[in-house]
Amino acid sequence: MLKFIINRMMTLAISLIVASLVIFAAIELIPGDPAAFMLGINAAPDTVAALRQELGLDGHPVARYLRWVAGMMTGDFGQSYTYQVPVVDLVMARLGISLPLTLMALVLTILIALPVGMMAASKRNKAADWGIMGVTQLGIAIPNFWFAMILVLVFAIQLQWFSAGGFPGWDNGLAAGLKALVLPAVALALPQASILARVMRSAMIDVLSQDYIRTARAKGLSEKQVLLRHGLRNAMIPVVTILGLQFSFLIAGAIIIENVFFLPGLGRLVFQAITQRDLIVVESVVMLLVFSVIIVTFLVDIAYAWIDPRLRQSRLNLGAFR
Amino acid sequence: MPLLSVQNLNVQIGAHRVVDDISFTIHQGEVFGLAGASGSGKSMTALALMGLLPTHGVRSGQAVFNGQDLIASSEKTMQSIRGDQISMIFQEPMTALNPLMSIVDQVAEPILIHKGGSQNQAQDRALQLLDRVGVEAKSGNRHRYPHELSGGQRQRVMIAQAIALKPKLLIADEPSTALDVTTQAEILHLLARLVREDDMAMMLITHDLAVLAENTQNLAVMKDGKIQDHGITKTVFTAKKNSFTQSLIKASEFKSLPKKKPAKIAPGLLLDVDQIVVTYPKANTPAVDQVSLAIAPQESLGLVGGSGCGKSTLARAILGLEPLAGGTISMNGNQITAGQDIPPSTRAMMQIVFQDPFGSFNPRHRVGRLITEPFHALTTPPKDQTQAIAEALLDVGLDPDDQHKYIHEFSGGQRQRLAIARALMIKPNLIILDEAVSALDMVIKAQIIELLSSLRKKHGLSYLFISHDLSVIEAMTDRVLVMDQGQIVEQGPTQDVLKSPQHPVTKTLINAIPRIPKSWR
Repeated sequence: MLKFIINRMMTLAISLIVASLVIFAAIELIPGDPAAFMLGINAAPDTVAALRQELGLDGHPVARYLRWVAGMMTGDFGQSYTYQVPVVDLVMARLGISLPLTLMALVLTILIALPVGMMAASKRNKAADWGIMGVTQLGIAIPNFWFAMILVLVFAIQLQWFSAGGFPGWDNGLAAGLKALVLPAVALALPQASILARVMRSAMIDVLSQDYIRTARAKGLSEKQVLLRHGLRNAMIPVVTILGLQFSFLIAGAIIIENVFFLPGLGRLVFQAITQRDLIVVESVVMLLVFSVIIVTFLVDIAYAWIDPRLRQSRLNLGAFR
Repeated sequence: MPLLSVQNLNVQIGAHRVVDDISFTIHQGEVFGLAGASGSGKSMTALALMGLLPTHGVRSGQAVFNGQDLIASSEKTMQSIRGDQISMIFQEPMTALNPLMSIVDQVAEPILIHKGGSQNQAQDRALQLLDRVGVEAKSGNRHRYPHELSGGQRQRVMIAQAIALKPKLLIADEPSTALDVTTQAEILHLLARLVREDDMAMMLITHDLAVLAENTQNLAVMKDGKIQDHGITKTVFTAKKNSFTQSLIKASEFKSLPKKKPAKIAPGLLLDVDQIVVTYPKANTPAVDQVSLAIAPQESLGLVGGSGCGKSTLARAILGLEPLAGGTISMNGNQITAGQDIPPSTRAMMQIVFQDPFGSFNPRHRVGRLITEPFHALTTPPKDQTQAIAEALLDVGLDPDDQHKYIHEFSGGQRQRLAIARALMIKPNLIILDEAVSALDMVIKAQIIELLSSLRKKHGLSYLFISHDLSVIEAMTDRVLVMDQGQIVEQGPTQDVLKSPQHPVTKTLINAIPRIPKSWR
């Protein structure tokens, strides 16, 4: 298992290096001068030159790349041009909203999808299954910003259980903060939960037709015990794969949802940074997002090995599969 | 009073009646056999008793077990009986265990479910049970998983979990069919011992009459859902009353085949394998260790040995699917040595038929496309393939119109015919048959063997026939090689080797074959 983790860590490091090179090259390759581009067409030449220096755009590309990477490693992402504050401070403050939001959506996705998918599989071709399949079909079809507006209409405007948007800040207590994230998290989670529930259903149907399920029934396990003791873990393998992919959708989805709910999160930051051509911020946030996706992929690989003993020992037992 | 009394049992799946009004009884401590070809309804009978029929299955009639009618019992009652009073062992040892759960936990599971108690106690008990069935507990290792065990070992784990709570009745559905002949004998001995020690009754379901002859006291023979013949095992065999039973016995001995004459073997060599070595990385010993063999044109050569002896690796090496670490292979004069790839023209002289006919076909393509795949091996595939497809299908006893069907529309025997048709497609000189009939039941096996014999005559084919089933080797081959731990340990004319085996490995293989006693014939 340790060998497996070390192996995965190497892959992770290589992915990060490649990703940083691509992001750096993308900024480099944008035709024209990033400084001039950031300042717009009417900027005076000396302002552009000053910005070039501020951005660290003078010097050899290799040296600049190394400086950029070294900076990130020591927590120095540079200075935001529009806000005139270190990017780190900016990102950290926004992360305080986006991270809980994404995690909440992720937890909701799992909590909705797994039981619903298992229920549909165990009641295959019965009314409950058809109902679940219909609802999840809708969940996938409805754009989540539209669903977000419906949520606001019903729960904020009609019922007045939640506020329609904005964030009170964590200073006003954990409960208030979490409450403000509930509607956005639900809006974010719904399409993903619908997808995952369908994946869970088909994975479980596949598992339930396996010989070892018949063995479990022959041992006297009840249907529920069969599902939970033998079905769930086996069905988790495809589910974890999809869940890992969904994480990046949740992050990307957050950009739209944060705008709908006026949440000052990373999504809003990157959106504003793009419209204001604040390339340093864009570069840093993209790198951060790539980093988080790579970490999640790593966690997914670890989860596989945790679920499946054959993967844990695959290096030792290749012979058995020949 | 009998332990189990089945009266007028019926099972209906959809519109199809798979078990038709059968009755039988099983007494405590008795081994009762249920025989019949595949699809005769024997497994459905067992599943009906267990209350484990497929979703559309409907059962009726009466099955009184220990004073309780299993057919009328609720699902809840059945759950309390299953695994405790009645246990079941299935055919597929490779897939019948949960791959993600340790074997100790799987054996402990029925104890936990039915008796409660702590996980630790149940695991301790499971380790004792594993020890009892001969799965060495390896200093109490609780973290072994099914993929670490061989097929025979997995079947032992299945048995351990079935006997965990000393059930009154053990239902064993083809418990040894998927195993090689020596492992099969070990598993059957183990079952017989456990039944005796725990005074269990066992219902042994198999298509192999010799297994039933050796192991059961009473016997019922099924066909099309009905019991055709029924009685004391010895009487069923010796009375020769029932023509269907007789046809099964005949099939199991390949008596329908013409008596083997020493085949006319053309002079010269088709395949000459000289001192080849195949090694796998990280293995201590080579999988194939300096093996030499020769096949003459139109000769049928047998290759036998227990599982893991290296016979399939040898076949793969001959086909050029495993790189050689040493030695040479010469096919029709074209030589291949270590480090060389086999040229397509040489490759096209050989074809292979595998054990699992379903797994070796792509389910999404039609038969016409599936069986013409070997044309890729030719430099100039024929322009009009329809004629070739029709000929190949007729050759193996199928209809030329079958080329438009998909593989799932065929039965197991028909699929194996298609696999043979695919091999015949490019008119090879040599066909390697790797356990090609091992998964088939007796009757179909005999038919395929007959087909292979006639095709050999018709097309002048050579066969390399790999099997652990010596009765098939006897029926099919002129000469035989016995392989053990990567080496050839004995060889000679098939009749001689089987009649007077010299090497202990050969003797073990021959002794392990289940036989109908001579005096019963």
